[in-house]
Amino acid sequence: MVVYNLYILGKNGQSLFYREWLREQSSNLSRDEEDKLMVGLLFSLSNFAKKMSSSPGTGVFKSFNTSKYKLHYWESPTGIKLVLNTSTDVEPCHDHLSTLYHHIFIQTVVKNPLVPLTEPINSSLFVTKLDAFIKQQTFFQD
Amino acid sequence: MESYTLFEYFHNELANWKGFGADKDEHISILEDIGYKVGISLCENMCKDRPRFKEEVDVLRFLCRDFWELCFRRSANSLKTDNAGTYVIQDSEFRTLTALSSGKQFLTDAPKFLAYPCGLLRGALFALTLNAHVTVEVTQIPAAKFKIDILRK
Repeated sequence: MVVYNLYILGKNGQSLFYREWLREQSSNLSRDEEDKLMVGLLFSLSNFAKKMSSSPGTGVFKSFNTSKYKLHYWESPTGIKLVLNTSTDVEPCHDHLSTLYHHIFIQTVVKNPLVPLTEPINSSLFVTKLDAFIKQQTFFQD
Repeated sequence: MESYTLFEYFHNELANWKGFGADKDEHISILEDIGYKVGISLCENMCKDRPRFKEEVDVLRFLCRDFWELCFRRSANSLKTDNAGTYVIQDSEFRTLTALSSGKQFLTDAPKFLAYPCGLLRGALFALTLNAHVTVEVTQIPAAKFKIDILRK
């Protein structure tokens, strides 16, 4: 069970944060291009989930599997999007992303007025806490 | 949402507000003044059911424990004195600084977040009839060291 990387995207699709723990193949795209690709995909998938849902108006896109990795997605009502890529044998970690948002993102980024939410996150405290949180998960292996 | 969180967000914006003008010292002294007035009133309110304090050091102990608890939701770590009117209060995780960083990042911005608390302390001491000069030193966020000099007449 491995954690590959994490993206945090803002309300308008801007890139707020990216961190990788293990990535065997880079996509040869710039940070900007990769994030735009990610935002486009998430937008399409969320809309798709809502439209094709069996009961009207519900249907939240949470994760997808490929043969090599699993992408977990969590979005706040304010539009902050968390995307975590892990190996395929990891259980859906919607709750973990929610905890990450409430206990780490809110406490170190939202509560820090020196780190605006419209620009890439520049807080070393956030990075430290995020790393510690991810590393202590059962699905993280060094 | 607990009431401290409401204060936390408000104070964050106040401390970081650009409307005070470019002069950093003026910014800090305005915040300190506001804290001073609030500190006086808060202390009046807090002490209405308490007996009078016997000694100066009791006032400082009250500041470190009860006042700190009310304002910052924790007790200060330590109180030191040189018995000649100077006291040093240390707090290893000062509440207005914990979300900023842990270490050296944003160190230059730290004084803005300490001005209002300094004022609070000065106001509280004034309300308890001690005229004091309060300064604070931060070398590593979030640990703060408050130096209180009691001014004798």
